[in-house]
Amino acid sequence: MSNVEVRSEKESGVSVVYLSGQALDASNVQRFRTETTSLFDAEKYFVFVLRDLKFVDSSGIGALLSCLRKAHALGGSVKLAELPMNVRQLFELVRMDRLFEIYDAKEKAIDSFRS
Amino acid sequence: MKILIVDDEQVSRMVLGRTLRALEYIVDVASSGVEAWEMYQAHQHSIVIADWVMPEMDGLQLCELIRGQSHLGYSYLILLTSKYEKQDRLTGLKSGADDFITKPFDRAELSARLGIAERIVQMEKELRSANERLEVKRRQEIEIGGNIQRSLLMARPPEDVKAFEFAPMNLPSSQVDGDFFDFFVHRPTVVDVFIGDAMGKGIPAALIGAGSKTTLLRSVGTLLSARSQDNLPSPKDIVQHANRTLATELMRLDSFITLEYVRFDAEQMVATFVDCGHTKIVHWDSTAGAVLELSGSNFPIGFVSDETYGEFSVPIANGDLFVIYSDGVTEAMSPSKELFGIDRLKDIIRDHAAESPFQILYRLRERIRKHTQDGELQDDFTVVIVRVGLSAAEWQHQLRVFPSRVESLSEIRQMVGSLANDCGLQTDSIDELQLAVHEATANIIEHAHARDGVGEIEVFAERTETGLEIKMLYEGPDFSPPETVTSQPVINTQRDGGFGLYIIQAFADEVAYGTEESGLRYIKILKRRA
Repeated sequence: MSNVEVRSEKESGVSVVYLSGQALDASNVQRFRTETTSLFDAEKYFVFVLRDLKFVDSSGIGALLSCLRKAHALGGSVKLAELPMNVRQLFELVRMDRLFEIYDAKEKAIDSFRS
Repeated sequence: MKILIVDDEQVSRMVLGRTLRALEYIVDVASSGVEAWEMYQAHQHSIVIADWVMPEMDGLQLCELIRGQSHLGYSYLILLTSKYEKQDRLTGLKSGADDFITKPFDRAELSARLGIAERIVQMEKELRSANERLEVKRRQEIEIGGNIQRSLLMARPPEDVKAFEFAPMNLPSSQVDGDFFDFFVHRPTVVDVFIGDAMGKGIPAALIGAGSKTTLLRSVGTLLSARSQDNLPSPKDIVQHANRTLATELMRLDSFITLEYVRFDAEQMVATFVDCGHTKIVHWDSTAGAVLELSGSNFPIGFVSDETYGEFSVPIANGDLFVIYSDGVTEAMSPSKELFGIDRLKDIIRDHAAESPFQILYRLRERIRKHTQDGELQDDFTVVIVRVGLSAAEWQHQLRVFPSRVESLSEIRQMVGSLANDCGLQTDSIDELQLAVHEATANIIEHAHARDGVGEIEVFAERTETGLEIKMLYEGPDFSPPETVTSQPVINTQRDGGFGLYIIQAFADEVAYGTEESGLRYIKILKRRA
């Protein structure tokens, strides 16, 4: 099973979630969904940093979408930052760039919540 | 315990109901067969007492309906018969009734019979749950056995060999077998291969196989360390050494292993065999243009501890093929109990000797599946095809088998990545191919119905002139999309699925969904060099 690690930190009032590991895919989305549920208990503004995540598949996209949905329901949002090339390609292919705000740098994503 | 009584006569219902409540049963009452059937479906009463003669649905029909729902658990069925009507109890038994009570009934007798009913229902319940626990255990065993097989019994073909191409394949049967194989590379030009088959089935056989394989490798190591690199221990010395270590243990376990130990030597252009009761090797002699059978005459390992093993050698030439296999291949059985046999195997080799070893392996597996028809293997299917060729540097085909479960996804991605790299695909194309194959595989894993929860996905790769073609084969339904997916899926945050097919279509240069002659389904994905 591929591993995915989720680590979150509070930075400038935004919850920054670092996703790292081999993959976020069909082999571990279920665990990812369970692990991320509690993130939404206390926060609603998120930046997901994906730079150390090597691979995302359609189930992974599904899981990220459901995070976005949860944040929306709370009146917040999930923004993405620092996508590896292959992940970026996939997001553009399935037009996820229309649903997610995607930033090159974590700091820009955090700043965008201020304006 | 809950009892359902059904009778169309009101008085009879009341008397029976009161009696049963007095005996401290929980009672539901129905006045017709139809009503009883509805109540039964909702509550699955442990005991049903039904009047035999009723309008519309009688007691017999009700019994038959309830027996038809046996997956819900066992209910004890009692038919009420009348002293004045002559009813054939045999008919009642055939409809599924367990007992009969004659009206008017005796309270003591009724109580005694219900006591029996309770005991039987209880026993049935315990038996059912014991069976379920056993089934869970059995599945776990298959899983454990499968894991031993993949991790300990099989091996990947060696990569740093230039003089030979090795194409191994193992398809596990529903029970785990003790088949094993491995390679030992002395030099890029001298390689040992062995295939063994431990007697028996299940985890014991798998463990014996794993132990034997370790011992063989250790024997190679021990004998090597006592000599120089140029003076290799002979195959018969290695086998003899391993037998001395293993024989006592195997005899104690009342087991033995058949073994084929072969050394391929491209320096002397000779292959040396120690055959210990194993299946005959099929040899394509490219010089003579003939298919030959090779076999020796040693005892299996574990028969006699001080057995002296003998070896024999044959000259080899570029283009020669050797097929080493377990009896699961030649003894694969058709529905009419006909064995696949060595002649069919020889025919395939003769007809396709010029093709790459993995391609031949693929054909062999196809033919065997076609032969067994439902694809169910009685024994493990284990084959190593060896091609002699000093220029065998570039592979044409590759074939690997993966268990059909999500844990395989990352391994398949890795395989595809490394093959695509071999074929000279650019980084972007490799990413796209990996993703397309990954999505297709994830579909197969999620939707194909693996037998016993243990199915396989075969990944067959072909290096084409323009790029790389990956074919994933599986047992199960066809996943071809209703029409070519060209439009993007509707995007909104309310859905999180449905991208898979689109991703496959978008990232592959060509996709095909189809069915092999053997009945295996496939998804084929082609990626061209940019």
